Amino acid sequence: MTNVYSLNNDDAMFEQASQWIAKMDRGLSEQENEEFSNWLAASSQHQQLINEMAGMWDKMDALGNLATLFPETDKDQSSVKNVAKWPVAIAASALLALCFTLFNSGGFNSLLNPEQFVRYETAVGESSTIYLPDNSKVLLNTNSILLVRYTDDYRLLDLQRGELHVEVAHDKSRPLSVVANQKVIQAVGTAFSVQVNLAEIELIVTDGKVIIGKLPEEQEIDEYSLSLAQDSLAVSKGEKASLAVVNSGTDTVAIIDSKDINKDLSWRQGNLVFNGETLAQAMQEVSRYTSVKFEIADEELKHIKIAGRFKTGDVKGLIGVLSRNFNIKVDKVNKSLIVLRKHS
Amino acid sequence: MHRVISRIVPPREVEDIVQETYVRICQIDNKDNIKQPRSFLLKTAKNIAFDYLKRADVRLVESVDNIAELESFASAEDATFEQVATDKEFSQYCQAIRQLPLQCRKVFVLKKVYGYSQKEIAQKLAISESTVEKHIAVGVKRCTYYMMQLTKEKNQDKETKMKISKKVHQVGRIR
Repeated sequence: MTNVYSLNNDDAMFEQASQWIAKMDRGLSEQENEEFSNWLAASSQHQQLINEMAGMWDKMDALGNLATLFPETDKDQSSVKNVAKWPVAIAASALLALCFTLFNSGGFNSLLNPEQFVRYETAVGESSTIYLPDNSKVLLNTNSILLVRYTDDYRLLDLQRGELHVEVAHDKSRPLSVVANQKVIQAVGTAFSVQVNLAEIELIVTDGKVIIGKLPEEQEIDEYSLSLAQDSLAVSKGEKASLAVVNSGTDTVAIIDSKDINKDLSWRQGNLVFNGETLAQAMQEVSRYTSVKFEIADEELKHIKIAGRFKTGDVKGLIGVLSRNFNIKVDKVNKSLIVLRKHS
Repeated sequence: MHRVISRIVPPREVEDIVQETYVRICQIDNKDNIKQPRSFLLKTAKNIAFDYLKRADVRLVESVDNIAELESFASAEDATFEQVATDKEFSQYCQAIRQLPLQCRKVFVLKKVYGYSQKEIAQKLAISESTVEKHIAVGVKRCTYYMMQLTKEKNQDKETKMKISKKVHQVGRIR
């Protein structure tokens, strides 16, 4: 907006120019095309104005960013066409909201000699970045335990609990494997996330490709048990896999939207993003990052949908927002228990 | 991420999402990756002008001056073309849309935030396509005025500041 116009005198010209913008957006007929050409040619002021208006119009598409955070609600009463965007958001959130907490690694550990590993652990609400000897970078999310062993033949990350994201340094001679719950996820030069849960292992590949295998039972991990078959299940960039724990169901792979990848992995920036999850789902996710337990007293309250961005671990901020924006009463029963109920 | 980024908000009416708090949330999110534009109206306009210039009969009718101007319009390497909105412009656009009348604002949000075509907007809001077109024209005009007003105020600010600094300078000289 650099040119100087008289705001009052040129109103008719502004009117015409904005009408042309609206028409161009809808698509010009041949006759209108002709008329528009003539209008443009008639004055350099017309050209300038179209230049500015169309420039602004194009740039305004940046507002599309708001849509990712606020999927359309369609609460509008006059709406006739039901564009069902919420179900999409809910499906996405179902992928995210899995069962977490306290995976008891139990018997599998006995296979590994803990002394050969370097151990990394994060407390609840904590996350940490680990730079490995080969320049691979690991982000360890809340409440996780990771054992790392590097040899000349392989690089092994044993995720005992929680969630990690790894950017793998390229080294063909010794593949990097993440082992979780008897599954082997192997990569050569790639980036991916693994989250180990009670019922499954969640894998998101953000770059490159990984292959999946299974550890032989009752055997020490070595070069051979980590060499996977050529036809192993492969998971590529932009895909998310759900790997079944030992002897319980099958592994599935699904394409994941890049938007959902960013959302699922927003913890890497210290954020949690909610796009219409129910309060119950959201609080479950939040509880991964704090030792405080939450109870939702009203059934109805559990199902209200929320959207927004929340800093992991900022319980106080979250509670403030819940009580202000949702009319929720927050009872701090004690240091480690908070009960949410509807304001009467 | 140095600001406190905790703000949970319930989903509201479509036209409400250009409200300030929502915009702030979005800006925090998108500091580095404001999306590429979807529409290329400026390019369309230039192409139309260019096609027009190519036709032989035009040159016979129009004055030489006008042709030169139109040529420069059609061929200008435009700074705004394919350029994305800055963070500041982003919030200014939101402010601009917020001051539109309700129905016009709804149309604008459906258009620019959710990327619907005029035809789809007409169906969604159960109004005629020509009404949608009118709302868009009104919206574009008002937003343009709004943005120009902002620029004008900024320039006036600058002028005032320059005048003040000049005065100071003069006083200094007198002493």
